[in-house]
Amino acid sequence: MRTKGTRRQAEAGVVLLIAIFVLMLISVVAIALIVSSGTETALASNYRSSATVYYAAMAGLEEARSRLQTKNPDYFNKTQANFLPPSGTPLTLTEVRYITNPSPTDADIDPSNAGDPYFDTEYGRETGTPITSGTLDVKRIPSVSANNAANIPGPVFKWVRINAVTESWLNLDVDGDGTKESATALYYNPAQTTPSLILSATPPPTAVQALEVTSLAVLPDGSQKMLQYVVAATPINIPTVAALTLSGPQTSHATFMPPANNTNYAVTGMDYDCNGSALGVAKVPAIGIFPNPAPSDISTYIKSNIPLATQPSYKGSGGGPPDVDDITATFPANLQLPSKLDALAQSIIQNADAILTPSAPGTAYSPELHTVAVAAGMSPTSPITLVVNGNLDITDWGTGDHEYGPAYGLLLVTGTFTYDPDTNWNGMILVIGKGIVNNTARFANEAIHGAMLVAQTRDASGNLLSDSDGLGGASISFHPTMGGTGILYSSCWVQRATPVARYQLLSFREIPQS
Amino acid sequence: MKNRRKEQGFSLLELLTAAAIFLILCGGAFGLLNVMQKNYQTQSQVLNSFQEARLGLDQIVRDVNISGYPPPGQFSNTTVNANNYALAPVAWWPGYASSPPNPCTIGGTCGTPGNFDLIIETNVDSEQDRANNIEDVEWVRYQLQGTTLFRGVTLKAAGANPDAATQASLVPFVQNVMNNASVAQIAQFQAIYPSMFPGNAPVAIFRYLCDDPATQTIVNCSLVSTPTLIREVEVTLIAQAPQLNASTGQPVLVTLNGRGHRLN
Repeated sequence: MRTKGTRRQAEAGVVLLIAIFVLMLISVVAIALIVSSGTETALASNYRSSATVYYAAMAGLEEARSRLQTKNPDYFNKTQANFLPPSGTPLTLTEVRYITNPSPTDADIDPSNAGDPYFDTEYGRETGTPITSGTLDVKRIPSVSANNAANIPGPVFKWVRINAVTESWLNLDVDGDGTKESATALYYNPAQTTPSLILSATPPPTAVQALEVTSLAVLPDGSQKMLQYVVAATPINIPTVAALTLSGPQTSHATFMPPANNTNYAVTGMDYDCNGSALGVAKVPAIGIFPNPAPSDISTYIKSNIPLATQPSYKGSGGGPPDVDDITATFPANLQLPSKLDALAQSIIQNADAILTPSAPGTAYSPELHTVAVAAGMSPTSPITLVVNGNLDITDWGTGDHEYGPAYGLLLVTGTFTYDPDTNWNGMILVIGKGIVNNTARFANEAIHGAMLVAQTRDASGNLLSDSDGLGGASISFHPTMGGTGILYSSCWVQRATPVARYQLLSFREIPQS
Repeated sequence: MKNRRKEQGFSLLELLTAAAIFLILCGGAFGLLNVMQKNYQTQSQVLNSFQEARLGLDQIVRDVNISGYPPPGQFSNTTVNANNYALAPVAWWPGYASSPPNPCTIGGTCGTPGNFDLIIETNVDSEQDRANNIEDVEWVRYQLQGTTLFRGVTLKAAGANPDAATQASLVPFVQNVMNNASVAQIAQFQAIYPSMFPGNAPVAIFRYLCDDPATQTIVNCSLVSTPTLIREVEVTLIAQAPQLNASTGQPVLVTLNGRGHRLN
């Protein structure tokens, strides 16, 4: 008789056998599924890389576009002095600028080095001059987006190039003359009826340089994309159509009381360069008044107040001397209303580098202004836009307790501006609002290099004047013994101090990569 | 005696029982495998059509992104050769060949751009073209014919009819696109995917958002309806897998969405 025990012993191997068989079958099916799903994953990840790399390149373009603006805290020249020429000065055709953004695994990136994995071949292809050429002036700056505050890596673009462009480089026949020029940088003229790129050796003052921004993004898996913008600055056009522009006298007369006893004081529309050298060109009228002043107002309230001895120094492109003109025709007609001119002041405030709002009763003084100017990075190559939302008393800016030195940029004062002739201001001073200028300190010998505009858009309590009543009369009254050499028009400083609202996009394209 | 008993093999009954159990298990396993295989086939077809449609969608979105390059603002003298710049991001018909071009109304008089038809005007030069310094603008057309989305690229000829000029270049691009399926098909699809065809109506592949010059905002094109103002194109592709679901016998569809935004 068999016992139960031996019978179980004899069956033992069969269970194992069956188990192994079933396991093998399942394994084969599982492996087959894994293999085929791997293919799908690869296809999907290709698509994902293509989208990732596109937006990474886009991030590079946008970084460059925003860092071109002086008001950006990461403005190129704030991060690295002289990275770009001073604002208003064009980039030459040999100047090439890169933002580099190496990932933690990359060594430093130098797109102008032929041995670099991210060598810029596109520059050579566009311009015909390889980027390695010794004639080029190449500068690099690190990206701001390498790692964010939480140490999470930013967009994976490798570099962004900024350079001037020509017809031949863009492969566009801008002026339609049948040839693509390669020696003249292109400008963009927003003031034309149809704004467009222009090819001109002497671009008009309204034109701004067109810059090419090219971005390369490469992913670790090798997918790459190159995108390209053409951008141009959108300046806030400040109508400095005279060395000293005054509003009036629709409801009240404009007043200009120069220091009667100071024979050195003059307002001149003769052009000076940014170094203060006279160019000997009558650029604009010395004093311009709008809207539509009666000739008697000009002679009664302006000319008669200018001391006879200094009248010959009030020179410019208009009549005279003294050169005091009605500029109703040249001052933009759409800005001759209180609401419109005030809106211009508001847009300057929106794009300002620093805004100083004095605490009640509302007067800011030199030390406060100097503090915000320094914080905003004011320098000759980086003129800034300063706004004082209230009264400003600039007494003792350059003498007395302080030696602040020259100031650079645009100053907008919405209240009363108390001037001190020890202030060496390079740029523009706009007094739009109450439109009152006076002085307390009298002795010094500096000047305003650039232009000045004084206009009354608001009444004494700060309410906007109605458009039907029109602008009020600007009021400048200096003490008879005040010093200073006046206002010397400088188209160079006016251009440098013109604030840029933003860099607008002129075109966008994707450059095919092999 | 005890030794011999130990060396004895399996009895016939034991073997038959083992084989029977094994066969039942195997049968079960293969049955399962068969079902899985069919399911897998269906799913991989869905994936394939999904993938094909997704690549198509990506291409459309990228073409829209660069549409309108180079813009007329790149030329100070635009009268010389209108073939060298994009007049508008999107070419239209009728009215495009008039002098000056006369915009049609989107959703009204426009034959193209329409729900299933779009002609993008842009410079899509290949590297070879760039090397040869060839500068010209192309018309890139997407058109749904039946259930196949066609794509065609042809050189722009200013003053020509873009509708007729692009016809010859059209080649099949994405297949089994069901956006404009018949009423009967839509009813069948709605039974399986209740929200795929809102209102039991065909689903437009291209929907347009336009710049509103008055408010400086982006609005539905029905409010401004001029093709020159198109800013964004919303793309919706409904792709069907070529075979029916093996286990249920029902069609399998996927909906894909994308949005192109022109910068030029």
